[in-house]
Amino acid sequence: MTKRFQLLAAAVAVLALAACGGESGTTDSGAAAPAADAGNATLPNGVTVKQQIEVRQKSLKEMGAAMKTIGDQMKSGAPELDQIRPAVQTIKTHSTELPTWFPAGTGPESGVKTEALAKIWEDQPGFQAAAQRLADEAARLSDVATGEDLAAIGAQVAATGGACKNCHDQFRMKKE
Amino acid sequence: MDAEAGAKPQKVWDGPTRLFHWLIVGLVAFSWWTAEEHIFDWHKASGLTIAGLLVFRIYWGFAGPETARFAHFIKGPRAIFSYAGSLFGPTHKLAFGHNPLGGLSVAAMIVALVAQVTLGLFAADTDTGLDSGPLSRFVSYDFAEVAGDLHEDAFNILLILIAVHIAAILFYLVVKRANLIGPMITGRRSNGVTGPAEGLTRVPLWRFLLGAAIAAAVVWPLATM
Repeated sequence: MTKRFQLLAAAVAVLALAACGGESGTTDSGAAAPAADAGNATLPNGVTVKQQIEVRQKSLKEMGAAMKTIGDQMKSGAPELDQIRPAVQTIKTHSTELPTWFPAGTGPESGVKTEALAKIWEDQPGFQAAAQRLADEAARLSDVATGEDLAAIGAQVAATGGACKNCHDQFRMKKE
Repeated sequence: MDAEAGAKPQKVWDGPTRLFHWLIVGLVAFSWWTAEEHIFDWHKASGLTIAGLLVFRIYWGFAGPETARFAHFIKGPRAIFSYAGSLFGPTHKLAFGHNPLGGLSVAAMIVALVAQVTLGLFAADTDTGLDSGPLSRFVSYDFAEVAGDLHEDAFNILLILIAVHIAAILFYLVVKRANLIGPMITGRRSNGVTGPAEGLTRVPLWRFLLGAAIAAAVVWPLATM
């Protein structure tokens, strides 16, 4: 019985949250309107804020897809190193580029839709450390993946995934 | 109602249906908790168990005793509106099994659970790409990502249906003075009998065993994938 009441209370809370979400949605669009031009502003690296955010999202998706390719292979029962190695290289290359994807001005204040939190720019040392951790783990993964030791590769894939998650947990918008 | 209070308790819910119900209550709560706490291995085990229970329950909707059958409790709009209209009238009686409105609610919860489990099978965790459903590796990253997002969003629909279900039970308890929780535990009801006085007819054991075997045959390959 108590379980059912907890569920009910929580479901009501979810309904209430959904209502709050709707309200904040309207204020968001109101706040975004004056900043709409900021998306077309050109950054010191020559691309617009909007383009920079698009590149960042596309690249992060490529890293996610590469992680999925590796994870799928590891779980397939007969992992193919020929499939794993190119995906590892994608992650390694992107991991070194990652700090350049977040120039100042490409946060939520730009009005462009992004899940990047303002905390990235407020806590630069923390963000850089998280990015460095990924670069280190990805480099190690690249080293291990030159060999054939699937157990070692698997362990290093998990460590690399942990670095992804570490940064997401701190610097990416949570789902409501 | 008083005249019937002394009647022999009438059996309305069979054992497998009650067991299904309470296992779903526990496992949905457990799945929710393990999702929030990111305990993925247990979340997956819980989801696959729910998948097996759903396979069994759908089979039981055709092979089980009367009150468990879809044909018994899934009614057309006319019956549903007619029941809703008579709810406060003098002719209102407790249904033998699900009433037309309750049947609609149960069907909706089963559909929502099937959708939830199916999305989970294909979902991929976009944090690490590692904690993913057993069928996720057969679909693209984009597909798995969408399935994962919907798996998270659609849970709210399930919670709303559960809230409606509990609110209806409280309504019957407080307003109609009818305890629907007891019968779902004991299987028996002693007042306001409608339907056959002798209650449910027994279903042969082999039908239950066949359903359990079908459920296991569907889920086992997914669990070992």
